[in-house]
Amino acid sequence: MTVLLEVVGALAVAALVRGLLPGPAPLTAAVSVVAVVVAGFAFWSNAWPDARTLVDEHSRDARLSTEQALAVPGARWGARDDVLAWADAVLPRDANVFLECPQPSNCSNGLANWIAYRLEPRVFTDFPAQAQWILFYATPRSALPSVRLTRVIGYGPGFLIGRVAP
Amino acid sequence: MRAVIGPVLVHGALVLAGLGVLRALGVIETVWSRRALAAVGLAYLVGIAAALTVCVIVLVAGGPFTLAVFGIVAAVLAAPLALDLHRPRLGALRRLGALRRLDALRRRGVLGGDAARWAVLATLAAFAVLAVVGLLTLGNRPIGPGDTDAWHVWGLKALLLFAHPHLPAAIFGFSGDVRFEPHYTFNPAYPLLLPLLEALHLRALGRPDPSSFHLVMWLLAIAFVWAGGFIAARVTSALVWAPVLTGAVLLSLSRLLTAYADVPLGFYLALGTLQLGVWLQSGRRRDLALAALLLAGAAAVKNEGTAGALLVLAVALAAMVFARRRRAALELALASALLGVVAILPWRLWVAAHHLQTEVPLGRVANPGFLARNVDRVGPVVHGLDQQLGMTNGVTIFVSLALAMVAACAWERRGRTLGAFYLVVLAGYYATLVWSWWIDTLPLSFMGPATAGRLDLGLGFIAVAAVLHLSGAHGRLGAPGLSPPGAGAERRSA
Repeated sequence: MTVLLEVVGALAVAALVRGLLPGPAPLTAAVSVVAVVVAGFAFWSNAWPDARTLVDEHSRDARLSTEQALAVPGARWGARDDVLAWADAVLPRDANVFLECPQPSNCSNGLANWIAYRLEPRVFTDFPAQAQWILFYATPRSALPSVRLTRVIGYGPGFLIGRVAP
Repeated sequence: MRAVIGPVLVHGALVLAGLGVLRALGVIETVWSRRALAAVGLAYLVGIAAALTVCVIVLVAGGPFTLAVFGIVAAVLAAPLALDLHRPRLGALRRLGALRRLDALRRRGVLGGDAARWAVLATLAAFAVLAVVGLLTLGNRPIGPGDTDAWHVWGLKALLLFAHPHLPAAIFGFSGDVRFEPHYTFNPAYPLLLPLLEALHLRALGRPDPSSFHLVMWLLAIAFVWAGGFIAARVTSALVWAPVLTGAVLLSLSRLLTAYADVPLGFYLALGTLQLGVWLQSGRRRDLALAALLLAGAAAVKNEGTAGALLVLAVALAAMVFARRRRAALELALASALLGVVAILPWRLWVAAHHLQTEVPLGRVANPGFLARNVDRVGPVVHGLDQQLGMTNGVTIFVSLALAMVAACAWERRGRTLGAFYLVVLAGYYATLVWSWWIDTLPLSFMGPATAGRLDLGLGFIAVAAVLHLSGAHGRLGAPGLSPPGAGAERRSA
């Protein structure tokens, strides 16, 4: 309905514009003039503010370190980037990893996805049995009592990496 | 140093690959010409579509994606430029200054009168300044906190393709989250063109830096205006295309800088549709081939692009059949088949062979029982789309203008075939969006906020193409019309 009103409005304005054009101007020419004015206004009213915004945001972003810039989207999900940087250093890059971070209590789904993204290119598995390593994120070791681990590396309370026994 | 030279070389290689394709098609006669310079934006977009489509085929066939492989592909595509190596005409280039060119345009009436000429020049100069500002500032922009798909759907694949020279089937096969919210998967079956382009940029940089993705988006935006001007100059005045194209970019800037694929899809879809509209008038094979390449780009960016490209081709085919232009219909059918086999099928076969989750439940597309059970989804979807289309601060403003243009064409009985073409494409794309939500099972409460202000971008950019083309239907505002051969016949047939 809104679109219909806009179309009728554009045609009405075009009909007025047609009267201002020299000679016997077709309606399509008048609609073109309306389109040019609308598009031109969109460009000229935004060009300067957009350029300023780009420069300002560049200055703001320049104050971020590479690590801080990388972590920006994860902050929305409450990700602990210090933990993820540690996990990134510990886990082999070609590892199959199972993330133990029960949802939705400890982990939002967005956080789980962020962890998988932040630790790429490791392969995240759907089940512990498919993995070589388990990342316990905000979760105690006791959350997976049936999984036997040969090696456990801790970062802090609730943050562990365990190597699954073959 | 590599952070500058690497991307310049890689994106320059894409331009050369595209110029080679344009040279082979006869769109440019020699690389040492003003026309080739004017076609650089188009060459960049064509180079991306052509070179990365080949790279997808290489990946699907088990080959690697490396800078060396890309270099070979780009070199092969650029090979037609070798024909011009023995006759460089640098002297001719030097003699042809910008002012001389502008004077020629003015004499031909392409720029309109003096005031109009200065308005066009001011618009293009301001956009050029803005383009440079973007190139200098966007290289360090982190992915935004709310731009989840930028890292989850597109960026992740780009980083994987940076880290692995082969398709990481194991990762692509990961459900995302099989236990809790399966719709949070990273859509492994989405087409690969954008992640490949970003991965290529990362390889050129030599580091996996997601902050550089926005620069790739910005290059696409510059190329869109440049290419749009090149194509639209055949059918309308610079007084129209300069503000419309630059306005469209700024109206979609906030969406572009999310680093989602929706705006790049809009660029390819708009230019492919416009170029196919040009072919409807000209009937020249090179126009059809170029349109097919641009639509292949749209199909390889996003699923909506695949549907959109097939829709545009189908509408054009129907127009040809309706007009009893059998030869043109046959050529179009062949081009469509080639597009499907080369640009769509390989990736879809790989997805099927690896049993990846597909986000388009094809089994439901024409299942009457399923559609009937879910018919209550249609109303909210139509309402949501209407709200998005009614917004005047986005590129969808062009939908209303395009429809007004179509109405004016119908009223004045000029350009009615073209008007009908764009109207049916717009209506068909709208119906495709409604259908895609109808056959989905995800809650609308999730899909609505997740796609607000994005899905309608494709419609907005198709409308941009319609406004550009139909504005030339009246022959005013210095519209140059289509060039020979048979320009008069082209006009009549359209």
